Amino acid sequence: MRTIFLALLTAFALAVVTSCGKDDDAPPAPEENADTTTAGPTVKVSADKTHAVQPGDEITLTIEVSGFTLDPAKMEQTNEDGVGHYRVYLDDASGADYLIEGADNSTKVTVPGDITDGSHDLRVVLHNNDRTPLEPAAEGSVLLIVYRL
Amino acid sequence: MKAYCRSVFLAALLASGTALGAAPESKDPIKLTIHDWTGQYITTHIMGRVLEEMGYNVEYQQADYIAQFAGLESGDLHVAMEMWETTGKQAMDESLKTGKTVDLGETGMKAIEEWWYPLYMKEKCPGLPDWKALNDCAEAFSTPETHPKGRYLGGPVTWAGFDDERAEALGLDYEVVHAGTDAALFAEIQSAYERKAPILAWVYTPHWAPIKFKGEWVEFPRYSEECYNDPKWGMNTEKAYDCGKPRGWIKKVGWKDGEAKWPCAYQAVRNFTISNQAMGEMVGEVDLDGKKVDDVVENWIKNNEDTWTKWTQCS
Repeated sequence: MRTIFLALLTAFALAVVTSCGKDDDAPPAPEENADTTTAGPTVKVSADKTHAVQPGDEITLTIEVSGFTLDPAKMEQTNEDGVGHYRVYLDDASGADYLIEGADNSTKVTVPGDITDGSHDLRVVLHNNDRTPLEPAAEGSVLLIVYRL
Repeated sequence: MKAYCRSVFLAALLASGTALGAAPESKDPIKLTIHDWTGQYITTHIMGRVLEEMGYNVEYQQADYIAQFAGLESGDLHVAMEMWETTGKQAMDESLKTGKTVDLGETGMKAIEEWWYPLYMKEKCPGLPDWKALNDCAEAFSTPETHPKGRYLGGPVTWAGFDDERAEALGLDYEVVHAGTDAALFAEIQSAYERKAPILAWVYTPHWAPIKFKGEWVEFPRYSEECYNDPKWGMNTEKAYDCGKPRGWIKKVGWKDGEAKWPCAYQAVRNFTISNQAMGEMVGEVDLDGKKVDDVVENWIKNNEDTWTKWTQCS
């Protein structure tokens, strides 16, 4: 009887120890918005700061792409299906009016000094090697809440 | 199981004498004030849950945002978790001067609350966000009731904010209409936004509205204390309030004698901080994703034990 009791006690103790700090301790997922076209490459973007953003702040974007390969070595080379890079735009900007261009899965973007106080989108738009946007477009975005203090 | 682990952890802290050593000093309930916006509800309930973990009894008391100072000064209310520099600074300063309330420090959140318009209104008023464009667009912001004057939908009168005075001091051709409640204010903004109807309204953050609605805040002359206190300051030399609202801290404030009654609890309130990022996400979970406040708060407590247990350190 004493052996059974000790075994049960040990099992209970193990259960307590293994339950402390399990998955329910996991931090919440970072701010993330995904917006993609259908049946093509997809882009997910998250940012380390999206609230109370100040002009001049440096924001780190994490970019996850599927169905597409980001390859910095191929920029300005011949187009290749499913290979290219991205440009980061603010709101409705397009063409050469981008904030940064790259192919890394993490990049830093500086919030423009003349940005207005309000809600703004940072859009990550996939581009071909020759710097033309994908057709159909493939992009993801994060929302920034900007106000000067 | 997590509650069990937390209890073990807190018991260990208690035994070590490094935290919670004297708590609770009194079993009398600590009365935390509740207002009518989600973020304040979350902030207050996080603090309440931590105080409960420390062994205190907590009561939540519905109170008017500005009028609560009478209760805080008399000791009928004990702690207010969100006093915004944007709207409550003057009332708080006046109360602190009585010596009956105490500044319990900043929450870490930074606020803005100002006149706001949806981005589609910029097409009808391209001079925005400069406040000087408002009079050129008064008609675009008008309603049948206010035409030809524009209409500005302010917050409930209990929020103060001096928008009537602001409109007058800046010579704005707008009628200031006050929403009855926070819910009524944002319901009207949502309705207008969905119809792309004209709307110029009080929007603040941390809040879900700037997440859900694309828009901008009007840029008024920047606030200074002189603007509110000295009519000679600013473009209108006869009237005060010819500037925007202050921006900045959100503070905690309490009944001063409570600090002697519940010193460790007050220390925990002083230690409380939370980021705009965390609060913005929680407000979104409640108001956009439909989660219950209590569930969101409990989730935060569960996932941030390392953070809030530090608040409970009591010397």
